[in-house]
Amino acid sequence: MRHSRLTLWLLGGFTLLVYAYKILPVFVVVALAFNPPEFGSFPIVGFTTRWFGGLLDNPAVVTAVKTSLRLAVATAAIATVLGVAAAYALVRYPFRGRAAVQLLLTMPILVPHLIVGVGLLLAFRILGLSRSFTLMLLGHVALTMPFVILTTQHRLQAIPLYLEEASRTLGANGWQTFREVTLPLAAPAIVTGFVFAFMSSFDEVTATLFWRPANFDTVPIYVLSELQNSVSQELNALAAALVGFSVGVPVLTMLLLHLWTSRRRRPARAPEATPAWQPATEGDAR
Amino acid sequence: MSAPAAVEMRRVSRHYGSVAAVDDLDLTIAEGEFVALLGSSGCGKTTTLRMMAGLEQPSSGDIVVKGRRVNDVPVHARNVGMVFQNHALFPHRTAFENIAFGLKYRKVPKPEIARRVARALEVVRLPHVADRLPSQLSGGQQQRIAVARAIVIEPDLLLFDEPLSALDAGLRDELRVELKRIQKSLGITTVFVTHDQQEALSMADRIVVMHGGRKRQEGTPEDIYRAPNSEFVMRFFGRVNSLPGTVTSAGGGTMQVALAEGVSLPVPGDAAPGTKLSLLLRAERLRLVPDDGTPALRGHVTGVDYLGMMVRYDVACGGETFQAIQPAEDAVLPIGTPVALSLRGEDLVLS
Repeated sequence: MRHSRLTLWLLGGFTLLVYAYKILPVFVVVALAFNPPEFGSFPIVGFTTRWFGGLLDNPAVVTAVKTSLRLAVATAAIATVLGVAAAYALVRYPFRGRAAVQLLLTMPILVPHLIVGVGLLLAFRILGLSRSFTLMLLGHVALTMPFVILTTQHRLQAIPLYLEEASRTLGANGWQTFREVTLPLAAPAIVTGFVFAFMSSFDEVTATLFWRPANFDTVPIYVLSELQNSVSQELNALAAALVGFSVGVPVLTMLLLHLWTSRRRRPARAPEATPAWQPATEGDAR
Repeated sequence: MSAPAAVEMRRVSRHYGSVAAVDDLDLTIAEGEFVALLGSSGCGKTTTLRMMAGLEQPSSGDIVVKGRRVNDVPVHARNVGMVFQNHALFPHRTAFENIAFGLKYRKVPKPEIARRVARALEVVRLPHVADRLPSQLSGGQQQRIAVARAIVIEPDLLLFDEPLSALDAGLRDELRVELKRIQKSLGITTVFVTHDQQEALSMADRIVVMHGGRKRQEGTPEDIYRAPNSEFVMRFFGRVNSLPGTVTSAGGGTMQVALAEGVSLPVPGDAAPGTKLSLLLRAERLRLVPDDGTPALRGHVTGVDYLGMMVRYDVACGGETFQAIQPAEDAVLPIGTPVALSLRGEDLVLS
């Protein structure tokens, strides 16, 4: 189908508008965070980083950042170990009820976080347990494990079974085969899953509100509760930092992964010219 | 009895649900022997190989290696070298690391690993590719490295699962000769699975023809080609004509059989005079000759398939069409050419 020039311009313009609508508010926050006046408002009259410096002097912010990092790292670590194990079992073993397990484990990304939040809290209440860091951790693991499972599963399906069989015939047992063959080949996907889990734990608000013990703030929850007072410049700075972190970590990870995997594909050293004595059929070394 | 056989399959079966992939198979392989399991896909040859490796468990029966029952020995403890159809090299490891993989788990000291890997690379004639990744090797080189990886561990048993079928024709012939040479020089007991009768004939000391999970015939390549025990096995090794005939006299292991058009031939076998027979003849044993007026089967060419070294003719004769494969030394006969068919009684096989 041919599009007229006008159609293309309209389509392009509309697309730009949609993106602007979605992303401009973020830029507004970031722009205001560097504006010198006490109260975050337009016009932009200068450039300062002092609101960012102020964050480090605020013990509540520092505590919230520490809490968030601790929670996100622990969540991602546990979700990755469990998620990789689950993905391996789901891909390699045709056990009874596999489809049900698959659905159950990946359900949390389909169900609204509100439901998961209330549900887990109620379950804890029934067990006579109160809100705690452990509850938050368990909840975040359940919410983020699907990311690890789905990315890892996808990659594992692409690793041919005969590679693992070859490893076993050569004398590696099941665990050694997993460590030496499967894990290195799946590593980029596992790292991606880890970062996904880390970021979604770090940014999670809705369910966390139900699970956190009193006065226990993660960064996004601190921002949310401060917003109820006023929009301070410090808050804009914190939000801007949060934006930078949330965009920066995945982008950096992708870049590093790209470098890593492309170096693995590149020749360790330039292939030598095929020696003349070799049969001609061998000359097509790729 | 002397030394125990290298491998014995004793009444081995493998069922998948109600389907028997391998059905009550007995097989004995001598030390240093090169055996080809030959059959079309689904005949059970690969399942048999995988059971020898330990990658599949038999549903019943015993697998015995050097006198020891290995049914319950896990794959990694069996000391088998296996070469897969798609080389199965570890893509994240260099050629050197791939070959060294099995030695690492045999607790071979590092300097000796280096020495043995270098030696294996020489055996497969690729001493210069040690530092390359599999993706930097050609198809033939990849399969050679896979062979090096399998032989470097000095396995009790070397298993090949259609290792040449993913390669193109020229490379396949070259590697076929190469594998045979390596196997003979190392003397490793070898089982080779293939669906290609040429491969089996040219490489194996002994061929086991399989069909429907069962052994149909086993013997040297020459035995199997010359004396197939069934029409099935005969047809596996090429095109076969079937001719009707009637026994006119018999005695002393030879009978006179009358074919059409007054042709009568002595055929090995014993059957009462008057018995109607169906005789089988390989297409390459049926010769087309000029019609000189003597009693002969006559017909005319209806189809020509020029293969370069050979020509395959379809010849209509009576109500039947016969196939004849001739060396392409003379001019190709055009369609419609009248010909006489020449055949020898000793080439005929009773179906």
